[in-house]
Order: sequence, then structure tokens, then C-alpha cells
Amino acid sequence: MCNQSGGLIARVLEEHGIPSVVVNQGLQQPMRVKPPRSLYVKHPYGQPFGQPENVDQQRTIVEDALSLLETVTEPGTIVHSPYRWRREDFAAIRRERNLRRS
Amino acid sequence: MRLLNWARHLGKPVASKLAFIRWRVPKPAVNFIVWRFIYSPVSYNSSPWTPFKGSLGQARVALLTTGGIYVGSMQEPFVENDPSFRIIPSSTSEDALAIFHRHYDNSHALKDINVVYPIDRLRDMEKDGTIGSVAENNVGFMGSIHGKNIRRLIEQTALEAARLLLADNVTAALVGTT
Repeated sequence: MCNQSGGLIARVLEEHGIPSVVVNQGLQQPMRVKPPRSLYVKHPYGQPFGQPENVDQQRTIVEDALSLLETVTEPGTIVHSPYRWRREDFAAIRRERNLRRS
Repeated sequence: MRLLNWARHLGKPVASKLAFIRWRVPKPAVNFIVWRFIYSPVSYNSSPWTPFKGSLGQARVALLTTGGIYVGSMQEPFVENDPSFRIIPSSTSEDALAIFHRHYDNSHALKDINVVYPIDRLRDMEKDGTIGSVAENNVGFMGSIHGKNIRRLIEQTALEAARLLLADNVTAALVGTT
């Protein structure tokens, strides 16, 4: 239900001219509510941006979510995040991204 | 045999008749009806669209959450099924934030608020120049809104939040749901 509320809020923001991204942990809710852009993460409910004190993971998810603003062109797109909640080396992922950028 | 079974409730008091009906209707169906009418799932066929102009480097990003987060010392806590929102200034320190939400395991969020409300990560990105700036005021909503309050959320409170963000020249919103 929180995922549904978030989608509804994003819809209202979008209607009033603010591009918005939603980070979801469920897939049923965004399929019903159809927020304009959503990132589906395979995390348990209550942890949309990853584990506590895992700075790299939180940063990765936030960057992924915000990058949807630039990449998504079709309304109602649900992008699946490739990363797992745990057992993923987010420090290495961040390092690789920084290398690619520079 | 089936007919006999049906006839058994005929001469009995109302309570046992209800029990008979309850017995005839399978439990998953009852659960579904209760879920459908109490939790009122919303569905749409299309989604609204505002194209994102410019790049992330110039965007002013606002952070919204449905994690029931509010400024503990200054604001009223949320109640159950509450469509209202609390304004969280982005200068608020982590210790001042409190959570009211009974529908998710918030032990992780209490350890580190960035799990549901990644304001520190956004500040880092602002310093790096990955995003332009973080909005002055972020918004905390309560999730698990059902029944009549869904309508109040769409028509009233989310609209007020949108106006508030527009007045702050916000160009992008990140909604974290729990």
C-alpha cells in the first residue's frame, strides 16, 4: 500500500509539471498504478535504498533512479534494477562507474 | 446428501444460518472481498508525463518518502491511514527525524535513515555536482493509505505538496516508497 501511495503521489506531481521517479520494492503496485517512471529493486519492504550504513549501495540506487529521468522516454516504464539486496560488491560497482565516467 | 446438508440450517437460529453461509463461501474469496473493499487497490490505464528538461547537473531535486518520517521535536506524529504530509527541511539533522509507520519493519531505517530517506546521499551528489541542488523543503508522507483517504491524498494533500515544490522551483522529484 505504501508503494501504491508513492505511485499516486508521483502521478500528481507529474500532472503538475514535476518529473518524478519512484523506487518500488513491489511489482504489482506500479503495474496497477502506473507511475510515470519507476525503478523496481529486489529489496525487502522498508529498504528502498539498500542496507543501513552501506553508502555505496544507497548511492548506486539513488543514481540509478535519477538517471531514469534522462533515459526513460515512454510513460509508465518499470525498470528492473540488476542488483541484489545483499551479496553484491557495491564498492566495486561504484569504482567501475567512476572509471567509466572519467 | 448435498440437499440434506443444505436443509440442515432451515429450522435453526440466525447465527447458525450465518455459520452455514460462511461455511459455503470459501475463505480465499472472503479474504479477496475484504482486501478489495477495505484496501481499495487503485488501477489506471495510462500514466501522466512531463518531459525532463536539461540535465541532472542542473536539476533541483526534491526527496519524497512514504515512510512516515517527520521532524520529531517540532511536528505532530502521523496517525494510522493518514493522507497528510510533513515538510522536512533539508537542513534537518538525522537525529531530529522520527518515524511513525506500522506497516514495514523500520528497524533498519532507525539504524540509518538513508535507507528510506537518502538525504545524505543527495547532499553528497550535490557536492560532487552530479545533481544541481537539493530542494529546500522535502516532503514526508505516510504510506498504507486506503479507503476514502486515497481520494483525499490525490485531490488535496499531494496537490498541496506539488504546489509547495513548484514554489521552490523543483525540477525533479525522487519518491522512495517503503
